Amino acid sequence: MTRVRLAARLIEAAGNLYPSLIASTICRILNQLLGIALLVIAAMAIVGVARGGEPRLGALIIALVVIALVKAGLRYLEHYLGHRVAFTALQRLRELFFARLVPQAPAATTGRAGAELTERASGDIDRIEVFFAHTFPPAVSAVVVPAIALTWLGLAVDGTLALTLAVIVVLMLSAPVLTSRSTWRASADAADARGDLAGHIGDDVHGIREVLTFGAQDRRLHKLDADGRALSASRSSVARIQAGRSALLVALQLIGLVAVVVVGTAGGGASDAALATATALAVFAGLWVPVRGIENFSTGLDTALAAAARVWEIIDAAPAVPDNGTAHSPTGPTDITVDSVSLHYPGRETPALAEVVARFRAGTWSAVVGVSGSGKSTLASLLVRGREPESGGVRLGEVDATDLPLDVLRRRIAFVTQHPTLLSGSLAENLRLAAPEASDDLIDEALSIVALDDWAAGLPEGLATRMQGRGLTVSGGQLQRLAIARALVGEPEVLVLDEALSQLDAATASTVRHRLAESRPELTVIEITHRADLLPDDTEVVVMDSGRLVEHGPAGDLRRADGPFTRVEARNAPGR
Amino acid sequence: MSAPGHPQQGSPHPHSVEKAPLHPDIKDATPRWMLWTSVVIAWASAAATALLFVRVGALFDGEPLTLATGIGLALLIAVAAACAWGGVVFSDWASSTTERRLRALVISRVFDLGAVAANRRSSSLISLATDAVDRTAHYRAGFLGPIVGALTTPLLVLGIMALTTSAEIAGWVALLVLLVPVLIGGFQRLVRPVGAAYRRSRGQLTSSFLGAITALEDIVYARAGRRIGDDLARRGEAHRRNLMRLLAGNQLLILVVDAAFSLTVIVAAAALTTARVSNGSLSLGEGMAILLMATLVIGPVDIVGQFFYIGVSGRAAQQRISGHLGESAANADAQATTTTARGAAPADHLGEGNRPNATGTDAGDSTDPPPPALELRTVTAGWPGADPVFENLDLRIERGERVAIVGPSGVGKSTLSALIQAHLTPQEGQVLVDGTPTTAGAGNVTLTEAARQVAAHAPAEYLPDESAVRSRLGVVEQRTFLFMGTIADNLRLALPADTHAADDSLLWEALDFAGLRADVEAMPDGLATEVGDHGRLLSGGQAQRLAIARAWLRDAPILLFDEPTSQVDLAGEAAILAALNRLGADRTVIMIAHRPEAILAADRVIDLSELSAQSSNRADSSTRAHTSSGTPVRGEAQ
Repeated sequence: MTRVRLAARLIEAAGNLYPSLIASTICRILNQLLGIALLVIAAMAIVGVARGGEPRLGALIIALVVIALVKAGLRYLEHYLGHRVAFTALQRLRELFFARLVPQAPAATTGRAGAELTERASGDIDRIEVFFAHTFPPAVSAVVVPAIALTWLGLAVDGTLALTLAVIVVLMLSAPVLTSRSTWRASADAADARGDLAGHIGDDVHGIREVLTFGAQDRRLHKLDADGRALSASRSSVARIQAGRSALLVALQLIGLVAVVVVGTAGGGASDAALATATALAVFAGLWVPVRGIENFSTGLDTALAAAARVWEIIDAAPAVPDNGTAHSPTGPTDITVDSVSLHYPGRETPALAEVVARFRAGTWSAVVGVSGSGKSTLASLLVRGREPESGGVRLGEVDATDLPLDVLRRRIAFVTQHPTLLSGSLAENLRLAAPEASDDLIDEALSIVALDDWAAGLPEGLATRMQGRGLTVSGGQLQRLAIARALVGEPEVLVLDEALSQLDAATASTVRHRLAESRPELTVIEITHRADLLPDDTEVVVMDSGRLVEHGPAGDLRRADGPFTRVEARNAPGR
Repeated sequence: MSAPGHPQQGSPHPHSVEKAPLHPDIKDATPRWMLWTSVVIAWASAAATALLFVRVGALFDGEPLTLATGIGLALLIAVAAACAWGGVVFSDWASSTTERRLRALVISRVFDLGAVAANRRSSSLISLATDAVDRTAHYRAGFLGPIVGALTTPLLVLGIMALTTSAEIAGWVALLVLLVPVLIGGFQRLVRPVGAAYRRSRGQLTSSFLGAITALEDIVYARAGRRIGDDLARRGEAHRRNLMRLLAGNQLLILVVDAAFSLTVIVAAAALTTARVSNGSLSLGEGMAILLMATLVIGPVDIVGQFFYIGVSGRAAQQRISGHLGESAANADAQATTTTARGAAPADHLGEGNRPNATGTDAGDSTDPPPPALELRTVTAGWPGADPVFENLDLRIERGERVAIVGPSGVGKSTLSALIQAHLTPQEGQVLVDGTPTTAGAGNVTLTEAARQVAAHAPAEYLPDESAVRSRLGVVEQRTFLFMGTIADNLRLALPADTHAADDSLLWEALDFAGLRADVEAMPDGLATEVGDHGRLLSGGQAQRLAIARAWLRDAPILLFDEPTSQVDLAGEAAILAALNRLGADRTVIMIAHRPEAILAADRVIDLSELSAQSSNRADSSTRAHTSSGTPVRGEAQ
């Protein structure tokens, strides 16, 4: 995306903030014009007395003080409005980001992708603030203020001087514009180098056991230094361009000053010439700040637009699964059929799922069993269309899952994830996530099924207790059970538990199983687990290995058959 | 809403002392001369500009533009421009250099702290090494110097004004300028509490947003996406209003500063100059020069705003780094200063592993019996912040043995694995690997020193004792961590640093040994295939085989297998067990599993739960059966 397009989209995203943005810019323009006025009035007073006029100090001081105070007020307003625009625009951007992220979840938001996502969501969106607060107003005032000031100078004082200054100002303004493409490219290189460095540091921390075991600290530090030097090199190319630009601007500033005096006094001693030259000097000195504002503008712009590019990349990404089904939910409980599904994760050759066929009967408790990496979680995610298979499909009874609207599908099938999270809010609010209108009785029942009713009653504020890191800390097992309760509150027909009992000891897991079977006998439960040893003998089991179905049948039979199921049992019982 | 482990933006490291002195290494990362250079560049620039203004004033008065004058002007312009160029370039260079130094310090401290401490705080440590380092470097090298320069140039310019045009006016303006900080200081009392509330509100806004993103999987499956989005929007709007209110107060400081400077400088200078020109003590040109110099004196006004962004966050970041550098290791005391007799470089371990030492004498020491491969002497150990997992444990494994250590979850298998690899230090007692203790005594150089040597391109000479212990070990863990890079990069990790130029044939041999050769040959890039983030492009089985290849390359005498096939698919398990069997030939093998049938045939099976229970009983009855190395006390499964 070109920078113009990036900027245009950002302004679009800001919405109806134009009035504030323009107001902020006007404040800045007026502030800077008043700054010029201060100098011009002072210069005129000095020339006035030099020509023998009366020093009206009192009037002078009052005029200057008033202007200075108004200036300060305008500056305050400019910053306030600028920040208001920036914060509101960022808030809108965050809302858009979240809204567009929802259909991409969970495929794009879990795992490694998820970690990078939070960096983009926070760091990059924050970097865009610079665009709104510190780029547009300075850019506009850098052009408008000289235009107004020099026009006035030309019309009211001296045309030649105004023209001289105009040439200098145009040169000063064009320097950043001309060099902007090279800084843009150099900044992109620096951003890549920073990314490499961040990856290296991530490895140092996450892989510290390996680093220490192989005594590789020196090597890692050397490589860290090398990566750091690569970053320094890219940064310094950016810095050199900016430095050259800065030097050029300074030189033009000072040359302009000399030029004004030389041109102005060329006419030789006429008193009007002195006034004109003095005024021109004052105007030019007052123009330095507005014109140099364009420098910060282009530097800040690079960073902000680079961040914007990364944010748009995420916002524009395609949804994980298309949602254009229109069929109705089948009436009554149905079997769930998995029909020869295959799937590859990007970059991997070995399939995550290879022509897996399975049938989960209505009202039964089934299990999908396998060791880590066997594909069982991937299979589970297909049931709620968290991903799309490359071939084959999932059916609820006779209805294809893709024909159902996602909302309908996920109302029917509740999915308890492997690493559930609680949101900030009360315990009751968390439990009502899937069904905000659920009654208190329903919540109490759900809690008793997962054997947390006593615990919840024992909390200082009961169901109103605030959850989150700072509020209530729950153990891994309690978190899992709360997630199951949360799913049950939604009153689904099917419950998919993705390793959702993995943190529970055998006794608690058994309790939960029993209570669930008792209170919701018509519920179809599909349990994904590696703890094959904990499954009761009458569970219908499907065994997976390396993305393939390798065995199926009741757990008791499989135990006696001494095949893959037994090996999974042996692998993980009594596991970590 | 904070996701666990997510660092709050801009907040200091929890539990850090508010006003702890800054760690000296941080100050050293930006030596004084860097700060002074920035200051001098700022001064030179201001001086050249001020002198130019004086010359321009002279021209204004009618001085003729001779060649000499012209050259003088050109020189002044050149100096000013050069300083502008130099300021930017130097500031960037200083900032980059400081960043590299700080990063090396932070990461080598992480290595010092060890695996246990690092794993508990991984995301906070990563944020420290990236974000905090960036901010601190920018603050110390790119901000402090220029700020001091910017704040002192007004006085320099006034000095030049005094020398060249009017000392009287310079004096008056100087006096007024010095009063301004008093005004600001008074106002700061109002502003500071606002600043903290501002940061807190901003932090809350960010963490709600990020918390929701972290929880997206749950939210989406619960069909609550739009609801949560609306809730976030509402919350965000409330926070935004709050922020704006706080900002309104905050920004008043800018107003005050702007007014103060403009008033004192421009107004005073203008009025005084007018008066003096009027009574003839100053020429017109001199008057104009003073007016121009006044604009230089106002400079700092624009900088003050930056205090809030760079200054405040920079100081918070450097406190975080300082706290991190000053931390002592969680389980071991700070490195002691005695050298060990085995201060040799780790390269020495190569080639020793394959000597059959099970019954014979050690090739090095002619008459002493070979030390046991592993010995635990009344070890009490546990994880930080929790009760000990076992107490007074005695364990002895001789060279050449194949021992399986089994037990249910929680009995201490992972504790034992961490003790053997010197990631965890025992609370009491001693762990000896191949006769070398894992703690007591260290090399005479800490890793922080090693980092400095790296920075100075000097080879690190001595390494602490843990590394001597680890060099005796070849480890295959449950889940193999692969670094970003190629298969070859990950394999070379096992080779000593100075053999990096080894040709690929050794690597292929290793892959062949591990049964991975065919797979890698089939990959289009072969050894140069990228393994992806955390090795995600390789299957679990392939990753384990790569670990086996690495262990073969390392050629260490003692092997530790920590549930090596528990994450591997059923079909691939057999091949990996066969490779592990090959690897274990003629070496000491320690296998950790929860059932003895899980891995390889063992000479001896130690049931850790029984051993641990016996040790506790022995401790309770306060009879010590342990003697010195003469009588081995073995724990055996009954």
